[in-house]
Amino acid sequence: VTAPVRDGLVHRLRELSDIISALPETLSDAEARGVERVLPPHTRRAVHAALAPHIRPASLPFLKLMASWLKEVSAATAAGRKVILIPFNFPPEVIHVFRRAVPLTCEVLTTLGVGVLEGYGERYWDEAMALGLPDYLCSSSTIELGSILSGRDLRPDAIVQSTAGACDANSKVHEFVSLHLGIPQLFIEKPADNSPRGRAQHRRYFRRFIAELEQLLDEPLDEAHMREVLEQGNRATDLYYDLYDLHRPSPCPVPNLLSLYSYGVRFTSWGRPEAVEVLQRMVELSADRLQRGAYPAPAEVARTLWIYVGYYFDLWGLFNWMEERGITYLHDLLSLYVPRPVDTTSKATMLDGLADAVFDYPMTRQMGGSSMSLGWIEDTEHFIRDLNASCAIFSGHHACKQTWSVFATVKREITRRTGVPVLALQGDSWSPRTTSGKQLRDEITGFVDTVVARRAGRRRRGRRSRRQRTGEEG
Amino acid sequence: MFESWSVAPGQFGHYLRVPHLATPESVDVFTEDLELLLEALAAYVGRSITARDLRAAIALRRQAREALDRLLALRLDDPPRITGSEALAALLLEGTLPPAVLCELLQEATAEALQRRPSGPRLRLLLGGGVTDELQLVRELETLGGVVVADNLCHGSRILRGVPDEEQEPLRWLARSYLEELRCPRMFDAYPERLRWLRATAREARVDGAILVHNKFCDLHGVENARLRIDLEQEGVPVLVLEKEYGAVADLGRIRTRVQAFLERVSS
Repeated sequence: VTAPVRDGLVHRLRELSDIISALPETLSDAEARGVERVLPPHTRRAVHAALAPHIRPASLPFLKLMASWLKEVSAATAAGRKVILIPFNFPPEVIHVFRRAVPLTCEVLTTLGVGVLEGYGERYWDEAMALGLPDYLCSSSTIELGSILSGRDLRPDAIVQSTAGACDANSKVHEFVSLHLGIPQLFIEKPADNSPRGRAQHRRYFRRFIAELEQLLDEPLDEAHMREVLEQGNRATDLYYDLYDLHRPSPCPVPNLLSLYSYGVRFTSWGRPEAVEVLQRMVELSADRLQRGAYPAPAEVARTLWIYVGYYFDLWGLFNWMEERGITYLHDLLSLYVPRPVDTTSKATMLDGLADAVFDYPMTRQMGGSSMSLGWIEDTEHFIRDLNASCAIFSGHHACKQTWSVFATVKREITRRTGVPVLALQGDSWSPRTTSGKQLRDEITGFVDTVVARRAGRRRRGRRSRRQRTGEEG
Repeated sequence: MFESWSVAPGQFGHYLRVPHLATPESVDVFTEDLELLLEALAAYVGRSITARDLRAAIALRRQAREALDRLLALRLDDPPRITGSEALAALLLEGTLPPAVLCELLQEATAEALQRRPSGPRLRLLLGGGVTDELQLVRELETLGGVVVADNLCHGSRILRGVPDEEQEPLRWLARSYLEELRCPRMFDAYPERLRWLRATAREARVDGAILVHNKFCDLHGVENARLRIDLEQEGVPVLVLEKEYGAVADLGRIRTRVQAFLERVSS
């Protein structure tokens, strides 16, 4: 009898993360290089990006957080807890308020897998395709779900379905997994109505959802534990805004990769003390860099706001590469999750706070509204102004029909309202199969050099000329 | 799409929010949303629309559907008296013509079909899937040795069949029927019911195989068809899943080849 092959995405990540768990809290440059040498080539490149000296103090706690999350998920069944598969647009604290459940965030796993596993995790994508699923599904969910479908990975006990309407690809592929493997699904629908009526309706749906979760877990929601979790979430919220504010100065003292870390924390560990610790380290690192005026390039050439998601298959080749050329990655739509503190006065206020967190989550809020473009345009306009972005970039993820369908409107309106240029890239954010990292870098370089930098130059010259004229006139 | 349409000037536009689950709460909400739609329509046409008006319209539609059912039943004959493309043409008219005009046309078509002497054994097919109003595509399929005797298409037999009782409030009936009987993969927690209906339809029509189509980039039907293929084939119904470009004839050659191969497989 041979042991079953356990080469699924979660298992592979878990094994690699054991190495990270064993590292000390601080590493010298020489030690970091030594660690990189023992890693497989693909993992080495991602770890090399994370262990770059200027972000290492924040990267190590973040990577250890991911490692401990994977460990907790892997040990859940043995500990009598249920693993609840959640999508990226569902706040994990809704699961953390239950003692008998652990959230397994599908897209975070894919992102980690694409970043560090050999072959970008494409073999798991192929597992899904082999079942006849269409090749225009979203890789962000399909890679991890392909791993689950292979039968060689951790099998969740239930699946949360919260993207109906906002994302057909995500909602249908989760339904497929549920039917294929006989895993129960729990539904929370966000009405395509952002008015108070829609919010009230959503709160009713949410209470039904919580009742179903209580039944599945055989655990009534405990108010005291709920409060503990949500108070931790509120501390994380304060730190999120501290970090957000640190994006305002130019050059931006917040390293590019921290945007990604921020939602890695949000999507897995919100409500846990470990999340607060990691955010604290991110804030400290950025505040220190602000004080020292530290920036990886001689000058900040462009302040980019990524109005959708980023590209995740080459962290070194995109996030760090941009930074070294003076291109700041301020935020993307996922890191702009703008959390709100939850009123912990009573169980009812906490339930309403959680329901609102679901309602206002990134992408649900924009693409799940009655107008897909309106919320997206208004949010983008606000953040471009608030963060003084010099341009916007749309990653043009091939599977996202929702955003592509309104992108022309969004681009036109953003440029009209804010005056900043918008670059539309095309590719697969979780796979280099469609567009390679090299091609993306070339397009970004071309855009920044020919549009953004020249505009900035024209503005500088215009200001100088106005000053001279005023001086002459004076 | 709605937002793109709304750019066109002078058009009536109203966003009807349709829930994705058929729960008591969502039926309540959808009933309210249908009321809002009715108010918007009434304002646009400049007259009020009462429950009585609705009942009258539903009764007229019922007559048309009964006439349609009589015609569609001729697909079940062996050999069938009407082809799949003729049936689809009738179903498409159901969604566009005033009921009185439609009734007249359907009666004529039924009378004409009853006079036919259909020939030869052909493979009996079920055609299911997403938006497919390309009659030419169905005609092409039927030139290859098969005939479509049942369908489960967006613009096909999925249309609502029932009518409300006198006591039932028409809008609530419409809301509940739409959410519970739509049989569209956009509705969640309802796959078992959709599969049950498809199985029953395939049995009633005594199909030899099923062709499930979807338009490129339609996630809803693309994934649904992958699941249906697995479930139907487990029960011994051969299935061909065909991805197509909506409305395009450019890939008809490719489709023809795949259908020919499928029909060979089924007939052997």
